Amino acid sequence: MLEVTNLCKSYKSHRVLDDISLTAGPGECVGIVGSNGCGKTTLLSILAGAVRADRGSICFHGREAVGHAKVFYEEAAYVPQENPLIGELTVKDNLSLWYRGSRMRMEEDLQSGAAAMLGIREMLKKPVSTLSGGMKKRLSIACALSNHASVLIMDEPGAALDLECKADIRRYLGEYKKNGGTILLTSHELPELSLCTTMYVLKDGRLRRVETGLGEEEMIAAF
Amino acid sequence: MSVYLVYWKLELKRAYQRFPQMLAGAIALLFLAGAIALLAGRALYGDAAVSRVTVGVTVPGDALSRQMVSMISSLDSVKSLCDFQYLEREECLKGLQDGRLNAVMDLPEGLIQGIMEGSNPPVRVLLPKDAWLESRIFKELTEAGAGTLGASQAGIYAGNELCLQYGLESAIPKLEQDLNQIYLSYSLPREDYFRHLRVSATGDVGVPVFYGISAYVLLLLLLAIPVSGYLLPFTPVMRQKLTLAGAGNAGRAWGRIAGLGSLFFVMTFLMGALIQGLCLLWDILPGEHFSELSELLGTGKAAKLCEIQTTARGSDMGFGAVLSWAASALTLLLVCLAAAALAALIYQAAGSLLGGIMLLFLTVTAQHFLAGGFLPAVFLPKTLQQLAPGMPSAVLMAGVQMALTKVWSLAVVGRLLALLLVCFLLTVLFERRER
Repeated sequence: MLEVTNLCKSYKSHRVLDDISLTAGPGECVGIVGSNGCGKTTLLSILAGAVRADRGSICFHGREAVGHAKVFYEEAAYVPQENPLIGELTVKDNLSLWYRGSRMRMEEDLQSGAAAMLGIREMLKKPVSTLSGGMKKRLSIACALSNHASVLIMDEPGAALDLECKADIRRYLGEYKKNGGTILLTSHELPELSLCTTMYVLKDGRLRRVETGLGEEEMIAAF
Repeated sequence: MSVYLVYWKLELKRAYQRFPQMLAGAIALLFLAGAIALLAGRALYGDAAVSRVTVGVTVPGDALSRQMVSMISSLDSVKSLCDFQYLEREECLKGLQDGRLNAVMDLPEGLIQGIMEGSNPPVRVLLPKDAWLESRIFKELTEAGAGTLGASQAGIYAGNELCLQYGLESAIPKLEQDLNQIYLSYSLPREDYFRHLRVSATGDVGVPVFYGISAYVLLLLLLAIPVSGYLLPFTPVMRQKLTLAGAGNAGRAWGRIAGLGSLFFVMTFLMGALIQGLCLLWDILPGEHFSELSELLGTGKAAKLCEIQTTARGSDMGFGAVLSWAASALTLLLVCLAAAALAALIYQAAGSLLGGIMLLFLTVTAQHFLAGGFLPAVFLPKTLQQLAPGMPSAVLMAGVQMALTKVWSLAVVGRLLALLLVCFLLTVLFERRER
């Protein structure tokens, strides 16, 4: 369960987020849409603990996360738009970093966890720099979920991926949601947004709830 | 396991993946440096004998002055450096203009008489307008000689004055004779003593060892260029994620420094092994078999390096020797870490690959010059001389010298630690700024 209350963020005099509040429960997928530069990435970075908010509260299952990095680390799995991977190292090395060297937990996940579902085992020995964009994205998700967090925060998961990869990732997100996980994502793609149970438009720093299942024209009009 | 331990382990792995690039870079740099040194040597000196100072002396009329110059030219310190040519004044000036002479000593008439009387007619030393190294050395030599002469004269005048004060004028000739004898009896053994103590512009080590150390430090710092990719800061997203996982700015900066430092240390070990190997070959197959190598290193230069190596190796391999070796290895490790910290700081400050390469090359060469790495600091202008000890290269060179000579100094260790700490903290600061 994620509860966000009165979140504010400004860059110098420019207010990017103004009094943002939202909630997301288990099995829910919350989509945030908006035009380029409206603050979607900033909002997700704050929810993942990567950027500090000026004001407001973020609670994961009732635990206040603002000012407590450990809560963010334990409760949120963050997949930024750009893959946070070390290109010179192998897939296994990258995984071991986020699993903090725990071979047992990593092996379990490679057998039956998120890493297994994302097909990571087949590419364990490959250097990350030789992977395709889709493989890198899958690895990023597996790395993010190494903490078995129940809230998955994804910034444009399908950006720059081919259709097959997008479909694979959508399938995985569907599974994650079905297993009681909470997803927060930003996207510009309707198939991805079709996963959402709740939709918000971010405009002028404020969130406005819109109906799910909107078409392209209606979405653009909402921006 | 702590995220730091995993992260540092992976940083080491990342660093060692670049070892082949560093090795190739080291070979390329060595060839480049060797070629530059050979070409520069030829351009500067041609085939002429290097480091002899040719001095023209205007021939004075009196026999006493000729005798004195002949005596000075036969002194060890002068003979080892200078060739005196007795010429007419015009010939001397022409030689100076042509560049055949490095200096001219213009002796006045009645020089010795003047010294004895106390009128001290000055000896004019003429140096070329663009005084090069040999001319500067001769200037230092004449200034030192004038100082010694002045001190001796002062001693004799003091004795004379004392005799006059006590009304012992008649005793003055005897006093001068006795003083001469006593002075010589002390000064000659002292001269003999100083023969064992080499005084050099390069400090406590000889010229070849000094330049060996300087070249090593320069090479070490420039070796960061072939592994530039390793030193580039991570993307903002990666930094955010690592911070979230617990590997903050300081941990990341230290990981990079430790990774590069350990690579530098391995390179140091390889270079040491190479020098040892050359020394062994030198011992086994001396003379003509290595004439080319001898030419390359300069006669006796490699032998000097061997001397340092074998002195360090010593014959006693007891606990003390092991301890001494361990201390040397630790000092070199500290040198490598400090050099790596400087390189990491430069790349962090530059923020991009090309910027980092340019900034590293320019900063390293400029500060190495200011540190007296190319030309010993004593030959630099006074203001630059004051800056020299604060330059990173000077600190690193002092550390390497300490490890080689095993003359331990806490001050040197302190300066190395300070360099490492300052560079580390500034790297962290830049890492924070980029966030």
